[in-house]
Amino acid sequence: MSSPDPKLMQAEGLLEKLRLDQRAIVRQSVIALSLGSLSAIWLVVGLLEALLHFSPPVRLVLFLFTAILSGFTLYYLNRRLALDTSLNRGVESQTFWALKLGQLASPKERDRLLNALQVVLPSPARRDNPSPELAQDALYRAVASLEAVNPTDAITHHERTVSFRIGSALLLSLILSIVIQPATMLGAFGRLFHPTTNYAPTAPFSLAITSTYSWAYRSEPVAFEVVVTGQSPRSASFVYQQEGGDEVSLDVDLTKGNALVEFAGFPTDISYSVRSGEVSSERYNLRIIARPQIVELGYKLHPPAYSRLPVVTGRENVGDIECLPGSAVELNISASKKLASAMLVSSRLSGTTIAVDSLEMGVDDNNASARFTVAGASTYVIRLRDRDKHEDRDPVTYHVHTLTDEYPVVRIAFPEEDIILGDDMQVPLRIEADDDFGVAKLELQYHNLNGDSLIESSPLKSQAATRSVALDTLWSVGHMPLMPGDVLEYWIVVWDNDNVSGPKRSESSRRLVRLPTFEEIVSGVEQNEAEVEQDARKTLEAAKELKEEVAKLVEEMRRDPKADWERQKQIEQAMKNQELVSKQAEQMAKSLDELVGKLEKHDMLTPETLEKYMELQKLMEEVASPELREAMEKLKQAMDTQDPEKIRQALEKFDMDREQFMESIERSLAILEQLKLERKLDELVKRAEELLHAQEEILKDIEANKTEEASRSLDVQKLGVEALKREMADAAKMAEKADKSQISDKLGDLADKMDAMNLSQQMSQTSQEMKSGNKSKAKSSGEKSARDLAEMSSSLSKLSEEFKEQNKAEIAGKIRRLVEELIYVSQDQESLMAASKALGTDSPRYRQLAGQQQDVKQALEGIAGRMLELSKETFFVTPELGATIGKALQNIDRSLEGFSDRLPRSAAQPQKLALGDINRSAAQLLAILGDLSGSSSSSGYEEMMQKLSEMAAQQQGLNQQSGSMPMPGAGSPGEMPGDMPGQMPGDGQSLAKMAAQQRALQQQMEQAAEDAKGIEEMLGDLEGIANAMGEVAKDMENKQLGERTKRLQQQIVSRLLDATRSAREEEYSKKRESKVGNELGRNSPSAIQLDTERERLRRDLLKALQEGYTPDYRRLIREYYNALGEDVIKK
Amino acid sequence: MSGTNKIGIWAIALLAVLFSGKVSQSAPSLAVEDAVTIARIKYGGGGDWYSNPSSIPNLLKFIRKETGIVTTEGEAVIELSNPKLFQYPITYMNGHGNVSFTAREVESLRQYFEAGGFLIADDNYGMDASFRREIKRVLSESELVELPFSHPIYSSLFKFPNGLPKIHEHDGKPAQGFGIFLDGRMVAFYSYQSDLGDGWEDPDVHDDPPENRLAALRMGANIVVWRLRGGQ
Repeated sequence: MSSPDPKLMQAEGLLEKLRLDQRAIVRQSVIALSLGSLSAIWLVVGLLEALLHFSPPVRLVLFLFTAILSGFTLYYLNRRLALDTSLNRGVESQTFWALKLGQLASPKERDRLLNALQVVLPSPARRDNPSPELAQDALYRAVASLEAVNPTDAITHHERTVSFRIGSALLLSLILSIVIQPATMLGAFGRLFHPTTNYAPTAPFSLAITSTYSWAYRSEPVAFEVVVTGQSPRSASFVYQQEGGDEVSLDVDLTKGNALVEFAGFPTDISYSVRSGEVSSERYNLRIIARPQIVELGYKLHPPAYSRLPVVTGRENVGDIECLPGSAVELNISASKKLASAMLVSSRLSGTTIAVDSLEMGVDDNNASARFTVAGASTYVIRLRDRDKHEDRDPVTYHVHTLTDEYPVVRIAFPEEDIILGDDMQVPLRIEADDDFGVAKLELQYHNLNGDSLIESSPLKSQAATRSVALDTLWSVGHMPLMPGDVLEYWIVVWDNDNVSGPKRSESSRRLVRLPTFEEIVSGVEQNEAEVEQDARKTLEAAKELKEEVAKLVEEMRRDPKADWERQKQIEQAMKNQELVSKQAEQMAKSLDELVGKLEKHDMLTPETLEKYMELQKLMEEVASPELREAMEKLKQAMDTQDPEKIRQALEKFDMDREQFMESIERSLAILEQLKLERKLDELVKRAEELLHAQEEILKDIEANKTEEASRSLDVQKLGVEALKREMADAAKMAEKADKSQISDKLGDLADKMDAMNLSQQMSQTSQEMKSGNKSKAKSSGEKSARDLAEMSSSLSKLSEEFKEQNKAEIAGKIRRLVEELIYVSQDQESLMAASKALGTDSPRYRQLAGQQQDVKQALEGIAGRMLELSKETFFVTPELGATIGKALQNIDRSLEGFSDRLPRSAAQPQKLALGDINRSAAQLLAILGDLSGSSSSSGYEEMMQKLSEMAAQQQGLNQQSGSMPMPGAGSPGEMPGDMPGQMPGDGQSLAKMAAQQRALQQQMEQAAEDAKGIEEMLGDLEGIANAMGEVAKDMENKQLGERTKRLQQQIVSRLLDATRSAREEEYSKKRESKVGNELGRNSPSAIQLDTERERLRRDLLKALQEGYTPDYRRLIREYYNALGEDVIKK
Repeated sequence: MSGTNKIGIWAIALLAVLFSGKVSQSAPSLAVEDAVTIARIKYGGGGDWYSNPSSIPNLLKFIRKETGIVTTEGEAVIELSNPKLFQYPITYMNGHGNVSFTAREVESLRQYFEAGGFLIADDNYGMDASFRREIKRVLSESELVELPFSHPIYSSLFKFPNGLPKIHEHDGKPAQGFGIFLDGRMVAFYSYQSDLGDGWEDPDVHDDPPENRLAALRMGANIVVWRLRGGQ
């Protein structure tokens, strides 16, 4: 048996494969179409049932019909698989697929295939059909002959694709209908598949809640949508129940169909549903979740170190912070849940935008913390996230307020206004500065307004910051190159201690300090002097008017003692007038105070004249004496009593004290008048000294080739010389007016001499030479001017001294005359007293002796009058001295009464007292004379005393100068910061000058010791003093002022004072010896009786009574104070 | 020793030096601020306000030693017109010569007294008359009242049963201590005929016997301590 041809077998396999592949495709198409058809059938039926709700019979018919239709459809679709020959095994199928392949072959091959098929394939028309085997073999051979054919191209896929699309679409429609209306559709299918079951009639609607949450945040809004399907009812009930709570029902309006049910929030889990009649939705559950939130918050505030504020703990759960920029904040929170993260988010305004910063806080379970520094005002929130990623909702916004560190303030508390610089070239300053957190630095700034001076500064304070600073300091401007007329503007700058935002700075208001020109000073002094004089004259005038008024009242009271209302009013008016006059006197004293202050400040007077002015000042201050005030008070009290006699007495006492008041004013005025010339002469001396000093400065400028400065100064100097001449002429006139023709003449001589010096021309020449560059000539000319000015200064100084000496001599002469007169009167009185003692009661000499006594009285009254006049010329003689003579006169009056009564003892006794008073007055005057002559130099011995006194004064001056200098190694109070302790102040020149003065004093002392030979026992060791002076001078020359120097200086003064005083009183030297003290046994003084409180009450009472209340009120006031006084006593 | 150790030791030494430097800078300033001092009044009128230069330093030293009160080394010097006057609760004046206050000084001294200030006035022989005159200008309503021996100023620290000690002799008068009162408060103590200031001076100045110097210093300490304890 031959083996089968492989090619034929391959062809057979190919044809079978094509059939099977096509069959599989057709089967898939049938399945897809079957599914689609069934879906369509059941969709239609389901929809019909859903819409129409058939009755069971109809439903049964429908179900059966649908089932049959479904079966038929399946049968119909699957029948093709059985009927299609191409899909079933057999020759037809092989031929079909062979022809299919042939369609794909080339025309040639296709022809050959068709030929083969025509041959081999059985045909009914042909009788000799080949055997099936042969035909099959031929078919295979024809197929096998096809070479370039791809068999898979013969299979058709199109049908399957279409079927799949149709089937899928129908199936999807069914599924969608179920998904969209699951209840309806599934209900409908359920009923269809149970066609015989009798279902209750379906409600016309169904209810559901669509927006179902499985959870919600606690207490946050929740909304549910009630959806109605079908014919909507009008309303429904939304029913919910919290855990453990009752069911709660809410009506829902369904007239518009679906409705939204909103809740503000639930605290716990709930279950809920919606119902309407029998229809109810499903029951749903809602879980409530709490967000994380802050349950505790606290912070600690660390203010910046500079503020020195304490650490502050903020109030619990208050996150708002108020602090200074730069403060560090430690923030701690505790949350309600365990935290995954916490973020501190702050926002602050930065320009026109809001800058937001985040800071992650450190987290530990429920707690979180952060530390941050406050830069400025801001807000912050803390965002929390728990471990389930829930976040805090609407976190609280806290505010950070920054406190303002205010600007510091500074003021110049003293001087309160612009001032004129005194001779000491120092400005006492009291500076007060405040800052809310501390003053760090103070600085004095100033500049000269006259010129292009730059602003200069001097640090005043730089120490640990304090909030309030009150600083007293002396600003010395002596080192500045100031010219008279220059004005310094100064102010204080203060910085606070804010080192976070930078120190803030403020300035005080600006003040001026002016270096006055000499002319200004003099003009000011003269103006003050005129004011004082004017005030004094006004006061005197008013006092004189009052005198007449009071005298008239006294006279009326004497003539007609009554205390009616009209008279009381007159007295009250007189007292009021006296008050006014007293106030004028106070104003006068104030003006004088100003004048003296100015004179003192500008060193315008010699110490002697200044002392007189101060005496005058004291005199004026005491014009309104306590006695006068007391007299007025007593007068008021007397008026309260309504007793005419008491009123009269009090009025007379008031008149007497008022008289004294007036005399004091007269005296003040007279002395002021006299002092004017003295002051004027001092002024001339000062002017000359100033000119000399200025000339010396000019010489220095010439030496330093400062041409411009020297020329300018010389121009000023010429004006000064002219002013000196003018003032000398004025002074001469004043002297003439004061009847001091000698002084006037001498001033005239000096003026002539000054003219002869031709100082102005000399100065012009100096200026010219300077400008021509001829320095030596300029210097020579300048020196000549200086010599002339020195001579003029010396002459004026001598003249001033001479004037004072002349005054002293005149006063001494007057006192001497008074003493002589008193001695004469004393002798007369003594004789009278002796004669009176010898009188019998019936003696005829009574009249004669009375006449003599009257003479004595008149003489004494004359002396008293002259003494009063003298008291207006000198402070040595006070009106109080007249009181002793007054007593004598009173006693003389009493003795005259004795003579009149012819009672010898009544006459003699007061005569004796009068004699004592006269002698006492003489002794007092003698003592004054002693004081006066003690300062004169009328004899050689006294000259020596004078010389020693002067030297003591000079030494004291030197000691004071050196005493003002800081000791090496010790600062001096009030010195400006920057002065180095231990340095000698200023330059060495002043010390050298002092050393030269000390040497000059030493030489004088050596000369005095030489001159004092013979009286050295009384004067002590003058040579020793000279040696001590030499030691001091040596220390000064070596610039070594120390404790030893001071001690030596003090010893010199003590010994000089000892020498002068012991010379006047022999025992004085013994007093000055520092003998070791021995305790002297004695009893303790009695306990201190300080009735201060009562005294104060008394003063208050007096003051209250002077307020002008009515008598009734005054009585009440007095009773009130008396009651208070009693309380004090009881205590 | 290793290099690291050496560096560590040097660093510690440097820190120690810096720290000690800070302490030595700040300590004196604290001491000065808190220390008690006495301000000498520089008055006008020609009197030697500067006399007995070593007296106050010696007294302050004595007080420091005897009581432990921190005092300054030296005295301060102040003019009555200087507003700084009010910084010194205790002031002192002495001298042999004339004392004269300007109107401003009178006013300032009165304000000082009213503000609680206290003055020790010590007549060094020669200033009595002018001091009485000037103090009357300051406190016209007050008189100098001699203090009884039982006054606490004579026993605040050391007992002086016979009142003010006599240090120097001039004219055989007994030493007297006067008080000047303002509204019941003693604002000034005036030692007359005692010469306390001389007694406070260095031993070689007056060659006083040690017991006299000691008495003077003790009395001075009494005055200061009495005042510091709020004596009135």
